[in-house]
Amino acid sequence: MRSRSTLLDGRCTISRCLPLSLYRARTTRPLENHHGQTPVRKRLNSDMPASTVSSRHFYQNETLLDFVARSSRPVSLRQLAFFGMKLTNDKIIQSANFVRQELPTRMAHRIHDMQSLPYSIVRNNHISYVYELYYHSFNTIRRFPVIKTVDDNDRFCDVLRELLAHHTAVIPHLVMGVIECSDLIDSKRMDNFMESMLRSRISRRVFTEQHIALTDAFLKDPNFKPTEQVGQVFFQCSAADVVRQCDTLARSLTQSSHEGIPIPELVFEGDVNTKFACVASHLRYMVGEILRNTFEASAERYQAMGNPPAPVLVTIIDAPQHVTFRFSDRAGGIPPEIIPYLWSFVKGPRSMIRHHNFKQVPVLEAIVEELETFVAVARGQRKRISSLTSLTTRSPTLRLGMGLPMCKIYAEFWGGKIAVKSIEGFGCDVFLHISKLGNESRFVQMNNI
Amino acid sequence: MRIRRRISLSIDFAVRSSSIRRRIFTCSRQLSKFSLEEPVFTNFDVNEVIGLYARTVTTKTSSFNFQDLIQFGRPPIPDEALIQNARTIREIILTSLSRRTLALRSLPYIMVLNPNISQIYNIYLHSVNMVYDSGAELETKEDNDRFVEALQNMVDTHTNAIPTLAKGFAESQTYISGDVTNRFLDAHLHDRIGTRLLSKHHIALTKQSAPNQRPDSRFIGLVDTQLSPMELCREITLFLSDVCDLQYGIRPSMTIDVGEDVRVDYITEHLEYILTELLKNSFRATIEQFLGMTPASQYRIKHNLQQESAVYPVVVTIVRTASGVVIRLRDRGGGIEEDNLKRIWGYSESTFEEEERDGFKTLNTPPPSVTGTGGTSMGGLGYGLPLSRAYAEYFGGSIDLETCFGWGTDVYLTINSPQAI
Repeated sequence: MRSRSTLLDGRCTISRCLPLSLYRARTTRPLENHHGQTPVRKRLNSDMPASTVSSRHFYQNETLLDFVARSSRPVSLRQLAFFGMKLTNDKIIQSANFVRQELPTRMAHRIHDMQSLPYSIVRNNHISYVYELYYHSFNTIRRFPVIKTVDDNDRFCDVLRELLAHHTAVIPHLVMGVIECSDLIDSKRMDNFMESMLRSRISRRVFTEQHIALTDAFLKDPNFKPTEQVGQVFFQCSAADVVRQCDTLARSLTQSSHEGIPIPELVFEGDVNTKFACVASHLRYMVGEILRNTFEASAERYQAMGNPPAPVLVTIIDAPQHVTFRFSDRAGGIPPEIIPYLWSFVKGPRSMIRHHNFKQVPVLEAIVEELETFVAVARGQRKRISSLTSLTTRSPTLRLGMGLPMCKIYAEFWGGKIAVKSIEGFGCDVFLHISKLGNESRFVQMNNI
Repeated sequence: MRIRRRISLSIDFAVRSSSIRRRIFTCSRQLSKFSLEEPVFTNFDVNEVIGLYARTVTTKTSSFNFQDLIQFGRPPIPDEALIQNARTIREIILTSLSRRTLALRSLPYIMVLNPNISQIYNIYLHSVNMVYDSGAELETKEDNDRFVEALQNMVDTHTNAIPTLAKGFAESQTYISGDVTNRFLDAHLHDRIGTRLLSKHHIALTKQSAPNQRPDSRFIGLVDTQLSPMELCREITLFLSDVCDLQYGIRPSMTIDVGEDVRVDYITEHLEYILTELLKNSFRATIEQFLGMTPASQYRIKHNLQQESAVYPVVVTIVRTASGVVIRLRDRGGGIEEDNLKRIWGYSESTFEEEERDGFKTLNTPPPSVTGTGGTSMGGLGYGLPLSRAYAEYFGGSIDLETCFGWGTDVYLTINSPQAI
């Protein structure tokens, strides 16, 4: 393993990970949207300077500050999913302009945050990559003219799709940067920074993807009325089915790296027929992480002790505001020295190992074929290319150490909660409370900037 | 050391020579004789004592750990060791009592006029004096015996102090904020646990080391070296199911899925109190969920979800860890509502008979371990959980709770106990 000094020596390791860089105008591989069509690739704004880090950037920051001064408008699920309402041209255009204004405002807040971080941190390869990506995207969207027609909206959606694709690598870069810079800044402040970045990212991606999904649905059928699913929001998501799907995927992944080791079965109890409205990809990611942790721990315990693994008890509970999932295992519990760092992105004893693992997370554009084989395993999952998919289907030998902190952010984003109780030497209980996304506005305001 | 002795001699002389001393000891056993007026010994005497120990109060908290309880090995313990122990714990106890007295004195004046609180204040003053006096000379076995007698007296006098204190605080709610109450009571109960533990432990050690006693291979004072959480749970369940039968006509049950043969060194009384409280809560919730009386069950009825078809047993998991024992109680009692979660660790927050605002006054004697006398009801004081947590945390353990509203609650009790000798 390389020493710390070589990792921080300013050498750019990004180009190996990211086939599409800011310094090239065009990528070699076209991007498919979820209809299998290949939209015309837009050049990245070529009048944009290659690097934003210049003295001009300091004086141009005025524009950014204007956007920072605006507060972001809260977004409700009604707006996202158009519950039972009929879509019209006007509504689509309204939604498009909302995205056109909200995206730069929210990104401006995040960029401003990064500008307040110490210079040494933002000069780290990974963090500076994210910074430049954000700044570039901010400029792209804010310069887009007001949308007046459906054609304008089409062009706008193309730009949005490209943006979403570019930003899929943000999470690994952020986490790598955070780990590398963990001794440059107080860890609490770093955790807060990560949390606000990720929360904002979730909200931006959700309303962006929802707008694109609504546009597509409207184009296909103008009388479209959302009933079962719009974009990522599933109105009648079956809790038990989601757990079963995640179980299949997690099981096959764990089996592939721990050949021949028995993996515990799942035993269901409680309100197993619960159906509720939720963002399915988020739920799948969280449940997947929890199950992967359990299966990993169980496999390790079997290797150490040899007893056949006890089944994992999955309790699904239909509560007034939430659906609660309790995963109760006997896989040996969490070592006490890890527990203080359970929810932190800035890890304790294991951080350098994590960092090494991170470099091997596949980024979508480069290895779509590999991804497809994984996705085929999880039958029933939509073939959606999203940043979560690459993480959900990563090899289990890649211990990234951010499963639980990420789950916490996703869970709390919609007003839910996650808690982990470990009994040393025995097992763990994980309590995941997911908000039901209904018409109650209390839980569905996305005013996390 | 010499100065202290001179002061103590002068106090002794002053007290001995007056008729006051006679009055103290004749009415010492009757709590009711303590009245509203300032106690009968002069302020000068007691203040001196408290002043002496106030210095240690600020410099160090009287701390002892579990090792100290079993440091002398199995009984019978030689006399010199007993006397040494007596000297040590006298210092610790006096520091504790002084700290309590000072804390009581800093309560608002009007509160200490409340007869319940003033009664508690008086018995503390009395205890300070008694412990100081009876242990002034600790050189011989007889000295120790006299000291032990005084300790027993103190323990008996304070036995019913908690309900009295609770009543006093409940009546004084308008004069003090909830936060200050919680902080005061946290500190108070913590000190009380320590004082009673040391006293009873020393009394037990002395008894176990008496000349005609058979050597005990199991108990060291109050510490049971072969404490079985499983047996304790079974006994408590038997007792509680009688209570439930009387109250609801239903007998709850408990099963142990892991850890039947786990043994640990711990103080039986403490673990018994904690488990009684926790099992009582679980049983009550399970029964009420079955009967449709809990908010969770009402939600399920309203939304046509499946009702509880039986009174499910509380599942107990006992695991031996490197530093002690973890006991998990899992029930299907419907869980705890979000709003209540923050309040359960405070004092005087009982959900029993919520409709009656003055539920406390109409109610229920507290559980037997607190009073030592009878008590057959299922709730009321609202002190159960905070007191259990104080017991668990005394030697570094904890009580944690995770609730799934609509289903049930999991309670994780961690008991810290070093390896047996």
